[in-house]
Amino acid sequence: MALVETHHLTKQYGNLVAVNNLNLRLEEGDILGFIGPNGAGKTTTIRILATLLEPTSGTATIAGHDVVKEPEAVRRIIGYMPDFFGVYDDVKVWEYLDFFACAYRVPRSEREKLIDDVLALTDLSHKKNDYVEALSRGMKQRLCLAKTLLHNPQVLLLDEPASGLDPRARIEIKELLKELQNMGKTILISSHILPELADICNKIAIIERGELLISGEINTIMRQLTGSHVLEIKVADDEDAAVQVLQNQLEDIREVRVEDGVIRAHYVGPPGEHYRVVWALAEKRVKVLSFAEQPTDLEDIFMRVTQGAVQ
Amino acid sequence: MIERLENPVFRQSSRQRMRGARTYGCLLAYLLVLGLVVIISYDQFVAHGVQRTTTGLAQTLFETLVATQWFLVAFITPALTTSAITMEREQRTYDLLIMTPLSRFTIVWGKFASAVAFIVVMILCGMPLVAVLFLMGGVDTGLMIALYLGMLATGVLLASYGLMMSAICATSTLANLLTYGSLAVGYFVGAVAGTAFTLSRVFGGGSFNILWLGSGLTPWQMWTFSVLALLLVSWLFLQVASNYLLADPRVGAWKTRALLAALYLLVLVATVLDAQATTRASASANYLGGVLAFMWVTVVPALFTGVPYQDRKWYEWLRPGSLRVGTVQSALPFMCLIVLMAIVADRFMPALLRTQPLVWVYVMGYFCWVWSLGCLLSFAIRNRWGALFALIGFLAVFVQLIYTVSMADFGKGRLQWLESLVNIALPVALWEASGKMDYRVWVVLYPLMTTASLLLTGWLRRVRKSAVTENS
Ligand SMILES: Nc1ncnc2c1ncn2[C@@H]1O[C@H](COP(=O)(O)OP(=O)(O)OP(=O)(O)O)[C@@H](O)[C@H]1O
Ligand SMILES: [Mg+2]
Repeated sequence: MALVETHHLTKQYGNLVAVNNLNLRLEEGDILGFIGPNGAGKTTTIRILATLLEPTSGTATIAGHDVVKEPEAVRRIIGYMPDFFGVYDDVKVWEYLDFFACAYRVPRSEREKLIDDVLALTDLSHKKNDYVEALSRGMKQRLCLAKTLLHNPQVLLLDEPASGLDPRARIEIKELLKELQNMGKTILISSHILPELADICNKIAIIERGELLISGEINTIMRQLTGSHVLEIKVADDEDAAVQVLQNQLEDIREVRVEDGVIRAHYVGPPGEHYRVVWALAEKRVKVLSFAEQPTDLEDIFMRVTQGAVQ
Repeated sequence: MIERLENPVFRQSSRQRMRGARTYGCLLAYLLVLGLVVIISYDQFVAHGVQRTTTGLAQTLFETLVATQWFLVAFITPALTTSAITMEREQRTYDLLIMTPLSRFTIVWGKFASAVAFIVVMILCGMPLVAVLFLMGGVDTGLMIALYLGMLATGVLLASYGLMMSAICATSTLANLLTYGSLAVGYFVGAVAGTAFTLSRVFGGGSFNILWLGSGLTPWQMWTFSVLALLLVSWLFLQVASNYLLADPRVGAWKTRALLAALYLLVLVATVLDAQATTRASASANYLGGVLAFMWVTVVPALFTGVPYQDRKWYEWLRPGSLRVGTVQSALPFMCLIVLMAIVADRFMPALLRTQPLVWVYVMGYFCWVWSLGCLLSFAIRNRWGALFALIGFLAVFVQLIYTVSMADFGKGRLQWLESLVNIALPVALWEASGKMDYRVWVVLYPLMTTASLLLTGWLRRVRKSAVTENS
């Protein structure tokens, strides 16, 4: 059963379509990197999943519970960490956690130990008796994460948990996420940039202006990206002969098309070895005029997004 | 069991309050003002020889103290709650709070209880002063308890009112402005009305003698009814506040309506008890119909248009469960319930004060008309507050206009037919007028006017629909 599933999810603000026809699916234990530039609709999607916003159309379910119809059930299952959040004044770290533990109906006898546990997990044990507003930004972020873990949620929705953190703290958050992954949690985590997430996620979804551009297993996508290139070949004459050679003699070539006198072929062989294609053509005396490698659309999107350059 | 009663919001907001330096500044200022008032008035009373005996002095000082304390409590209390929820929004802690499994009412209740606890602290802080006066003698214990309970009750009412404003408003500034602004207007209007009422009594005029409620009740009954009504109103405010914590306040609207119905029931019971005990010759027939209609004028617009219109076919409203959909349309059954309660209560009225059956038809017609007007306005004006104020404004201007015109003496005696027009929007004068005014006309007219409003709504709907399809 999918733990998180959205079905043609759409959210409009007036005329602005913040999220358009989004289909996501997370199985148990998945960690999905939800990547997109500013204003892509990440926060909007996560807030809908967290029952804080109603979709304009489409549905979203968490462990089979509809977020609009059964918000109470959903809230028990999820732990949500917003991108921006505040903390109460005049409250100590343990009191802050105690408040939420009580709100989540954790029995009084278990609270103390639970709070110590989440503090240890987020590396905040030494701050237990400090005032919350005196914590640094990164510590507040970790405190919020600790709060999110209090009711032992199955699904975590983390909206840019690493923003505003120094490199060291980012690595620590990553370590923490890995630990949570080992605990079997299903996590949806949003970010502007891919490298931050690449080594902890098993799935990614890239969103831009509300549209889902790519989604799926990170390995599959990575393989497609590194393994697939479009080759553009121009020949002096006899294109058919060239196509024959490409289609029949080479194993690493898929989808050969001829457009405006240019042959386009997908190369899926080992990277950096497409010189073999030229060799094969030369062997058959095909008169190659030019031979070039074109980036795929997918790669194009990926490059723009992962560098945070999409606008 | 005790753990289920534990309210983290209460603990949290009390803790925050007791840690803030502002709280102690506020308490200190409060005590200083109290002390100063007592010392200055003591000085003045002694200097001017207002009271010669110690007991008399203590009594006067006690009254001054209670009045000051009451004023201060009334002034400070709203500030305890007006930012309770807006602060959560402004500090961005709201989402995390609302995500917890705590019910909306638990959250509201926690904030409210914390404010009430502080009011108790404030009242208790003034107790040493009272104790001194008490030792001087002359302070009646019963009176003292009654006064302080009254003070607490005022605090409860104002705290819940402030909390409601806090839930409705987007910012603390707006919430404070609206709360204190409306209270100032309320106090002013109350003072004017009170003065007018008193004057009309003093000079034997009867024009303000609309509600003689209370003259037949014992002080104890009066006290009980007041406290019950006050608690119900506070509860109502808290309910509205918790409705506004939802994305869609319509969801909890039926609870607000049920509470309003309970409030009506209370008024009806009090009226019946009062009427049974009163042997006033001036009392007139159709009494309950009149009381009901009068209250309806003030409360109904809020009840009706406080929630938006929902576009459904009329027969869909007949489904079970549609009562829980808080829209203008689903208010009608609640109105019928209230009329029904009044009809039942009328059975217990003394024979002299019974309402004629036709009057109930008339009252029902009036309700239906205001309801259809509410539907029309809230459909035409999509902003809920806009619709609410439009309806209240419309009724108020309408009533005022017709009332003024009908009361004017054009030299040929009062215009009887104009006077009867008052009944369009304000059937208050019903019982005193049943003899000379012909309300029977309205038994026919109201249904016609209701139909007209509903037809107009339907027409608007068609216009809007065709505009939408043209656009797309
Ligand atoms: N309350 C709102 N009212 C109107 N428009 C909104 C609202 N919230 C978000 N938007 C718009 O919806 C779009 C998506 O916003 P969203 O916050 O989901 O983006 P995001 O991917 O989280 O961006 P960021 O990386 O900056 O956090 C934006 O164009 C934004 O302007
Ligand atoms: Mg965002």
